[in-house]
Amino acid sequence: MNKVNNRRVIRQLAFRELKNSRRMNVVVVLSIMLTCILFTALATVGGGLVNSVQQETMRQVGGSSMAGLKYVLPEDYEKVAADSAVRNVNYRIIVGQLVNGELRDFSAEVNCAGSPDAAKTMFSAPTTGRLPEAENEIAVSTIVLDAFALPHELGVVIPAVINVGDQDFSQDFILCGFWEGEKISPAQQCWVSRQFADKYAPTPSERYQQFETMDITGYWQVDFDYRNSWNIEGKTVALLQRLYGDSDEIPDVGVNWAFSTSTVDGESVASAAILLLLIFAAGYLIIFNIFHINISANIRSYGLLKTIGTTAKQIRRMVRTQALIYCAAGIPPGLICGILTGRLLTGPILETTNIHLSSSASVSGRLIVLIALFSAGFTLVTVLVSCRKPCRIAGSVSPIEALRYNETVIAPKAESKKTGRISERVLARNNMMRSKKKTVIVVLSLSLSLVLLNLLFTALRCFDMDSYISNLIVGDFVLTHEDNYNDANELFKVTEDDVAYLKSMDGTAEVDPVYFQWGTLSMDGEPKHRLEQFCEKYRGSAPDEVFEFAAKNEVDADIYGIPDPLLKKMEPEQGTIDLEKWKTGNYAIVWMHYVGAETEPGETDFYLPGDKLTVAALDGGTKEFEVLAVCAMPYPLSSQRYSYLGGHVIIPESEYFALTDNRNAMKVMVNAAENRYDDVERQLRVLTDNPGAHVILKSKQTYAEEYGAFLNMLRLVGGTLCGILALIGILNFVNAVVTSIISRKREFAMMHAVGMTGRQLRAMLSWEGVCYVLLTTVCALTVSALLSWFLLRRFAEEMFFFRYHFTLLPVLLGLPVLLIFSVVIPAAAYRIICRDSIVDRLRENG
Amino acid sequence: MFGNGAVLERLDKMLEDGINGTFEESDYDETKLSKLETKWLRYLAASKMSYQKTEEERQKLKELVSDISHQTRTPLANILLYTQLLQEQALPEESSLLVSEIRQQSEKLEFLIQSLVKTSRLETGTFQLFPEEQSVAPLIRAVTAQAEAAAAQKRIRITAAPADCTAKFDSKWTQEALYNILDNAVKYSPADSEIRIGTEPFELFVQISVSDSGCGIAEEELPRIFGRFYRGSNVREQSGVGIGLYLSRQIAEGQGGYITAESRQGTGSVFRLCLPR
Amino acid sequence: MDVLRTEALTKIYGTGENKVTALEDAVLRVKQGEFAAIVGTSGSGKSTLLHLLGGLDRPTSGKVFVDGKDIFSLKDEALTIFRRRRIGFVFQSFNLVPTLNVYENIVFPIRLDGNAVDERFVGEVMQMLGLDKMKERLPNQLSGGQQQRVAIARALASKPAIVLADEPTGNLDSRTSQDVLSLLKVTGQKFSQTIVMITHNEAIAQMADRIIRIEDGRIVKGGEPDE
Repeated sequence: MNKVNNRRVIRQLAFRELKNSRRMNVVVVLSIMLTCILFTALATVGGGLVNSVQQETMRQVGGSSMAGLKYVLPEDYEKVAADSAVRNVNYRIIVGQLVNGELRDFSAEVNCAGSPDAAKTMFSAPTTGRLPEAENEIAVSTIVLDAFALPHELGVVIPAVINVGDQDFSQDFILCGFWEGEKISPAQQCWVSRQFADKYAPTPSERYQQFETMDITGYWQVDFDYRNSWNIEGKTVALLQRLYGDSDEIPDVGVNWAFSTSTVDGESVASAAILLLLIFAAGYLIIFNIFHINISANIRSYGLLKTIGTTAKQIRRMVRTQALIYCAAGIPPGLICGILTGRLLTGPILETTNIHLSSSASVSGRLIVLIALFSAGFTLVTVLVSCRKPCRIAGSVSPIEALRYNETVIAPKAESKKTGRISERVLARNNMMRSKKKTVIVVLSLSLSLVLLNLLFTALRCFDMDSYISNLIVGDFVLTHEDNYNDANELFKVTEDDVAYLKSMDGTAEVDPVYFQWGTLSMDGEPKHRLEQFCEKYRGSAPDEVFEFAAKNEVDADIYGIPDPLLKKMEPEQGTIDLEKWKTGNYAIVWMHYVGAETEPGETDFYLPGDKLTVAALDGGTKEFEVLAVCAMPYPLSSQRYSYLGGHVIIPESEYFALTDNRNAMKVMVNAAENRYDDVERQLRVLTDNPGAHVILKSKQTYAEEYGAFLNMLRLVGGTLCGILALIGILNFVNAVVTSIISRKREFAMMHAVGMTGRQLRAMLSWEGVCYVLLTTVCALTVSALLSWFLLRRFAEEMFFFRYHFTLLPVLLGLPVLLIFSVVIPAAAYRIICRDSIVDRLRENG
Repeated sequence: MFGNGAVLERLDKMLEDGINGTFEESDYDETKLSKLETKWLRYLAASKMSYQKTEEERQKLKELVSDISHQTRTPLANILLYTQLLQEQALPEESSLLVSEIRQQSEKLEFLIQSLVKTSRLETGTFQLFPEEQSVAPLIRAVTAQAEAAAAQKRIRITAAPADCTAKFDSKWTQEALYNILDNAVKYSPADSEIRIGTEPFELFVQISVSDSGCGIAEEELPRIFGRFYRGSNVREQSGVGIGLYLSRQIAEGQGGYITAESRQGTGSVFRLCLPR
Repeated sequence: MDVLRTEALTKIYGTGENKVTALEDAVLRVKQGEFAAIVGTSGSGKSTLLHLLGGLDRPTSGKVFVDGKDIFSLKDEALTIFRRRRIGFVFQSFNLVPTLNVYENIVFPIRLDGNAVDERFVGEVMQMLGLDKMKERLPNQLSGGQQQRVAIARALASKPAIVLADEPTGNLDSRTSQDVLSLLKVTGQKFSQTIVMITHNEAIAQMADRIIRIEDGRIVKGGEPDE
């Protein structure tokens, strides 16, 4: 309140002081820039991913609006449109569906768009032509055109069969617009004119009643957005309350779940937080360090300012103002570089995470503004936090202390120091001891990047391709059904003929079909007892039905029939695989699982070797086996579907055929003979590379390539991060060394004057550098080793595709680089100060 | 009407104007500020009046001193004249001694009154100093010549180092100031000694020093010797009224210079007159 | 009236074995308009005394009154503000802000206080000190004597109760010293500015109206002014 107005002079002083310290400016601005780049790049990648996933989901959902009212009347539209909380309100009128035979592979809705925007929010705005206006006009996606085998040309006639309500009728439409269709959309939109809609699907006067009104023809779908995507469900509930109050005419609502999936899960939040913290730490270390050093160097001038009446608060404000000026200079270029870096990184990441959407990979303008704000904010916070302590130090300088300050605090020592041999090395070591804090900070910031590099390197090395791939594929090739299927029958797509063809192929070493059928296990005796105990313990961790089913002593089981050679892919947890016993056909390999909760090892082993087991196939026979071993079907060869409580029962091919009539195989593993890999692949392609193919081919090689791309992505992202951190570390080191040399200019001149040669001085300085590097190495090695051992090793044990290797190679490799820096930089800096004559330097004050 | 800040701003301005003597009431209205302004103006007027009153009284006092000095001059001159006439007559030994004592005291009184007149004129500003840039050498020559007679009586040599620099000073008054210093030196120096006048030009000042080998002044007394009517404790038997140095100092300060004295008892004193260049 | 007054000012550095009494029971009075010199050899405690007088350091015991105000009753922040309003400093090493030009240096304490600069007064001071032709120059473009003149102007500009000068000519050659001291003296006379100067140099001390002698932390002569 009513403070005297002295901000201007403080600001002016802050600016002037800055003008005078060019080198420091460059270093601070660079480090702020780098910090900002890190934040921005991270935010861009993160934002890009979230955005892409969201876009992808929207396309799957088929709309970009946040929420919508379903099956309502025009009056409802008016109500919503008048509400101030919503925006982009659009409607479409439900007409019916295209039911032509050509379109049986997907569903094609016929609607009338209320406005061009309504089409746009459905990703179905015509890119060529326009929305229909005349009664006989229609706009469809290229997918529909392709299904009709029509050319992508305006004016073509579409012989549509439309289902409206409960009747079908045919009508020829003229194409007035089309667009590139989205395969992943649940339905293809076909737009007709309002005229057509009014004629054939007039809007009913009765309100739509769930369960009673079956016909939705003519009702309106009203979609809209809110100001932001935060808590859409809550907003929708509030909106309904506002519009309808307690009346029972509340329409159905839909919330676009693309927006709810965009809320990230805990794990990625945690990892993002750790990354942010890391960057924050790196930024903090260097910015704090620079400010700290600078303030130590300027401590006399702060003392002077204090003697002539500048208050601690004013000095603090001055330093803070300087920090803000630095931010103003460093953040904008940092943002630009960061966004560019982020974009470069986003591409590869998206590719390896199977989101192949060129349009969504780019980050929208609004998102960029958000990212920029976020990063700028974070950088600002980092800088302000970093300079808080130095600010306080500068403010609390006592005027007379400052008048005699020379970076060392003279503490009375209990014992006097022994006079030892004075060498450059000893002098260097003593100099390091003089400002321990500074030494610690420089060492920490240098170590940080080394430690990270080491962690990343170790992690990358730990990736084990074979174990990674073994989880995806067994053998060289696997012929299997489509990945995405809805039809259970998809699981039996490899026909007997196919198997016969495969077996007849040339150059194969092994062709092993895996047969699969659903079945149930009836429990009895000891296994039943174990199951009951298990259910008792875990009741509550899954829906009740699961346990009700188990109480009937029946559990789901996948029944696999396999040829004998596949036995060698089995790695039994209990028991041994005895081929002789197996061949008798009375033995089965069993494995049970529960996915409702985390279980102890062995807890789900309801069956143990020697137990009896009764299997019933879905479509036929029952047979009793004895348990040979406990072992799961290798994941790549399994059905890859899990019920809550279930199991695998693996029996010989012949026994399988006895149980069921289904002769189609689920998957076939093919191994090529030596040097025949390409031959075999070519022959396999005959089956898969034709338009009517019902099976796909997975090969070890494609997985290896995919894996390579994944690793490359990690290398790229990690490498960039490490690189920037390393840059920060080196910058910090350079700054520390140069500042310490310049601030000791006078001291050096004195030493020079009493007979220390330039060579000796340079040697001393280089030794100081070497001391830094040695300390850094020790610190980095220790921390890396600890982190590697306690963190990475555990992590590696959890992940099936990790094989832990201990390594400190990157730290050791970084050593010579640092050593070179440590020797070269001090010498160079010394040369700079040598430009002034000794006398000048001795005379200089402060 | 005013925010808190604006009120303080206005108060600050009022005080500032008050200090500079340019305060005026801004407006008459029903605000407290306006009331305050009136009060402030009344206070300023009152303090101005009391200042004027003191100033007037001081002036009166000075005029009184000046009048006394003036009015006593003629009678004093007459006393001196008659004393001289009396001395020329043949008088008995005893009376002649008394007459000579009267004459001495009268001469002292005359010097005192002359000095008083000068001081009061300087102080009341009747005379003003007109410093102008000129050579220092004529000043020193004139002063030396003036003191020559008294020095010769005590066989004291006055040696002046050549001075070829200029300074800004009022020739007549500065001569008076320097003469007082030199006269003092002559008075307090033993017979057969030497007095040196040195000149040292600096970048911004010229320093004229007068060193004697007299009895010197104790350190505690040094600050006091420039006071009015102060005389050193060990020179009481010497003639003098203790106003010369005071006058010299007034003159020096009046033209942006100053006088310092350095002394060690027994070895002599150095007086320095510094004049701006 | 006493502008500056101390009461049994004592400063002890260190504790126990390492105890050093830098100043003991110093009693001192300085009148308005006086130019006093504190003289002592190095290590006599004169710097300590000056630091205490200026509130740069706090005493072990005793008080300092400037313009009747017990300055050590003030908290640090308040003391700093008091200092910039009521005490002017002239240091041996000039201590100008290197990034501000001559004029800005001179008015810096005033602007720190957020006050309007009394241009007429500052102009007069600058003219007296012969600085009016180098207003725009930066400290590193000035000679030592000129820098010290700027420092004197800065000390005077805020019309303080007292100017404390710490070996003002310690970094200057003797000829320049003479000029700077002359200026200090003349400006002090002109503005009736109370000045306390510390020095180890007898000749310089002679400039002062009064000499205060300090030996081994005790004021041995001249602590009280003449009445």
